[in-house]
Amino acid sequence: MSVALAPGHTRRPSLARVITVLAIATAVIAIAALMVGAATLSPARVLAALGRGLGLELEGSHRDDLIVCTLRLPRVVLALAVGAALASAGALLQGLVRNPLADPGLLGVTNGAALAAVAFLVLGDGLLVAAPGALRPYVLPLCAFGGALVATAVVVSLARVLGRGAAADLVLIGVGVAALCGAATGLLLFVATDAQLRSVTFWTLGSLGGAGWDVVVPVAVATALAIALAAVRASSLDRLLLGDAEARHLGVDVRRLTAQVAVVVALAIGAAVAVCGVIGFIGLVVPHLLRAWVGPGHRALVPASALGGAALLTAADAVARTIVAPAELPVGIVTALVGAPVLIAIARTRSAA
Amino acid sequence: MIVADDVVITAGGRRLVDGVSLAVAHGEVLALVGPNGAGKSTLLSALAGDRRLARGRISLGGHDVATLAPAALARLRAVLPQRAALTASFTALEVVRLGSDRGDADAAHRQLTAVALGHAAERLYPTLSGGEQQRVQLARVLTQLDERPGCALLLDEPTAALDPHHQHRVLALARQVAAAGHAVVVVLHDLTLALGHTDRIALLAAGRLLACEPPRAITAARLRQAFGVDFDLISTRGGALAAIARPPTALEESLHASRPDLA
Repeated sequence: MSVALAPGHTRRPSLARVITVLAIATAVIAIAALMVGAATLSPARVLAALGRGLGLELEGSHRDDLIVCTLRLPRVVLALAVGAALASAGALLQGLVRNPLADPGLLGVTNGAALAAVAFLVLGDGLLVAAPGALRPYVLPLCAFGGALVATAVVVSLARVLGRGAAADLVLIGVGVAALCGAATGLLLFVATDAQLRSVTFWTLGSLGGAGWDVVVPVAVATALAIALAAVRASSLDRLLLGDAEARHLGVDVRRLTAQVAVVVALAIGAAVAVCGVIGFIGLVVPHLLRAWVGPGHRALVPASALGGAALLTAADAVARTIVAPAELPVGIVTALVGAPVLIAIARTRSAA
Repeated sequence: MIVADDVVITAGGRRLVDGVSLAVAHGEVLALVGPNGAGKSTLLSALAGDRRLARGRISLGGHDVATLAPAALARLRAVLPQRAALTASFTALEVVRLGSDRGDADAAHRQLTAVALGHAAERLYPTLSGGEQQRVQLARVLTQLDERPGCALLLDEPTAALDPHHQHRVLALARQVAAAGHAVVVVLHDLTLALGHTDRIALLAAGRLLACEPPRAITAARLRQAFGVDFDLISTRGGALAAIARPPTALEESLHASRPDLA
């Protein structure tokens, strides 16, 4: 935690220290998540199985290999990637709109993805038949990803055409577009059958059940992009926190930076939502909590958020798939149960400060 | 050198700045003075390159500001805004470092000390008082200038949140910046500060430039023309000039309210 020197005085921890602490915590949580499930394994057996998966000559059973490397590992890696995507995108977006309570849903990303996914679930039988066999499992995620990108493209271009392309324009238009997508989704649900409604509900609560190496890659790539953007443009993003005019006076091309952040956020959130539905609160709570420790500077906040989000979603998913075993809770319920009280606590400390 | 040539700025069909021409040389401090709504801040933001001009041209060091990209403009001028929107929990030092492309901590420390906040480097910006925040922002702006001589420094009411001691201190800093070879334009509401700390005073009213003269040449009649109030111009014992507005009489007040054009 930050060291209090005197009231209001702060010393930041070094970036290396932040990353080391969070990386160790994330690794511990990931190993714990590989231990729990229908059969509980010891840390030693998990590590041995992982080692054998990497080609090391280690003692152990084939059953352990199957449980750890084939059944649990893809899911844990997906949780790590999606958590990192949601939290790093949240950190970028909160900086862009200068509001620590901004949610990735603000750009219309989530609602756009949800609209496209629901449209596919309700109306998309024809599309599924038309798709080549090998592509069929990916039609729903591709629809959701497309919906996310289209919604964000509409928000960003409207903000540039109608407003000045500034963060405030993005927020106003983003809320409007999100509401329109929500209304259209509602209309589709109104005409949906009961069976369709059930799959829609499951999707909107989020689940990492669809894990597989093929879906991990796009999420990981989008997350890497978000972290890379934060690293390359860290000082410009920090300057944006001073205000649009102040950033421009310091030489930041605000319109361009805004568009870059919007695109990267849409890619990360779009990829995450496409693979596992709507998972709330990670993008909101993680950057908010870490800001108190590492400060608002993007060079540290975005990679720290990625690690924190990875750890938190992995832990939440481990709870979601074990607490009512053999059934499985949608992970969005767990993140909301953890996130909402944290958010309320934050609101309380803010008003007390 | 800052040059404004016949600048007109309109908004919603109204002329906010109406045919203003002026030039500020390196080494000079110019005050923009005038009543509320005279166009001071609008003109200052135009000098910063923030405004689209309906007519005229503004150049900094010979470059037309309308043609410059943000990064190129940032090498020619620094701007202190009237009120900063910063709410993020940066420390004072972190805010000042944002002024420098290299994020130089030593330079940032030097400028914080120049605004008498060297002791507050690790205080969180939101916990500072309004006046302290204003001085941190000034230190950030000075850090931006630090890197490149021969620039323009544009200050929008830098003394508004400050006590008398720091008002004088900040304007003395502006004088030092000018002496280091920069051109300084400062919007001021306090006429006495403008008279005491600047080389020339540009008097604006309703978007027009009424006068642009050294403090000694500013007359009470000119001030009355701009503000619609009578002024006493006084030489203090130390030789400084002070301007004191007389309370308007009841008759003048009602006239001003009903027919501002006659007042």
